[in-house]
Amino acid sequence: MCLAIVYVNFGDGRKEAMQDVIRIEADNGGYRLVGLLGEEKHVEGRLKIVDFMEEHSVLIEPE
Amino acid sequence: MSMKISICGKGGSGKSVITALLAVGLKTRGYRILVVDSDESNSGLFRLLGFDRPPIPLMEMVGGKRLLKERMAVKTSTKEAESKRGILNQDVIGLKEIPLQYKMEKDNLILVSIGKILQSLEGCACPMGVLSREFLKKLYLGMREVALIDMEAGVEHFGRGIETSLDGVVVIVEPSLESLELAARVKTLAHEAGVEKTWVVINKVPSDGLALRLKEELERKGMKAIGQVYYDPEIFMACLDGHILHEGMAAEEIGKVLDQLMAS
Repeated sequence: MCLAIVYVNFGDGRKEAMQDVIRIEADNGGYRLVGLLGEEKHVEGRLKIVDFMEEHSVLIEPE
Repeated sequence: MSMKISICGKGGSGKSVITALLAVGLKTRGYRILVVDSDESNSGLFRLLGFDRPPIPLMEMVGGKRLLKERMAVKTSTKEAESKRGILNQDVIGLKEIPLQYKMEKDNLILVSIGKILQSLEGCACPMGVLSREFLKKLYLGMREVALIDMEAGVEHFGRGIETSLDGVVVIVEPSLESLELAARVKTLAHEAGVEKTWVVINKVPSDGLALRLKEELERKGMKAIGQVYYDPEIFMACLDGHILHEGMAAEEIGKVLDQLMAS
């Protein structure tokens, strides 16, 4: 699947922030996520991992 | 009874033909049918169902690929984004709620299309896979309503999770080893996706002898065919000319397949 799943790291686990993400944009110290169906979300933190093999996952870590 | 069933198999095995024949058979039995064209390559299903044009694809409801790109660059409020998504914003979508321009409808038969790849270098079909998955997840069927989903060829749709909300998968097998082997893979993938039922229908069978041979091959692979559709020059010509598949075609064979589907 070419669309991404964005996770946010917390403690010893990760939480899904958004599925079917079509755009990720640096925005005010965090990231603006845009989903295929038009949903948008802002998440705080810094980009840690972008994995193009494993479910196109993106991991964002709180600073 | 209400059911969501996908029709899948190898390219050229006859998924669209069997989808259309099942739709006609179910309509004759008094069901209301939604056919979902989820094949992003082939575009002739509307003709086999007797419509003069295809519906506007549901991809256009989210803006289509070109508008999606434009929209991505502009921040929108949640309310704006929700209004653009239309029925896709709803938790549940009933057949009556699908807007007129996105469906073709005649005599209890409705056709919707997810989207087609129309230009070179336009990118992959993943967004269409997601839309298909989300639409089918939200789709609500009432009593005596059946959704038939004509899938893209092969098994990539399993990787996209399109099957997660389906009641069953019909895999079409034509007389070829590739097709038999793909059917076995579909059975495993469907099971892994949590789909309760997988049925096999043999298509384009030239003789009873070959039908028997294919059934034996399937049994060796742990599958049982619920029916077969014989090679029919009339169906062949309808596909070549782009004509409707009418209710007289393969009626007996499709009737037997439907009996098995209903009994499951």
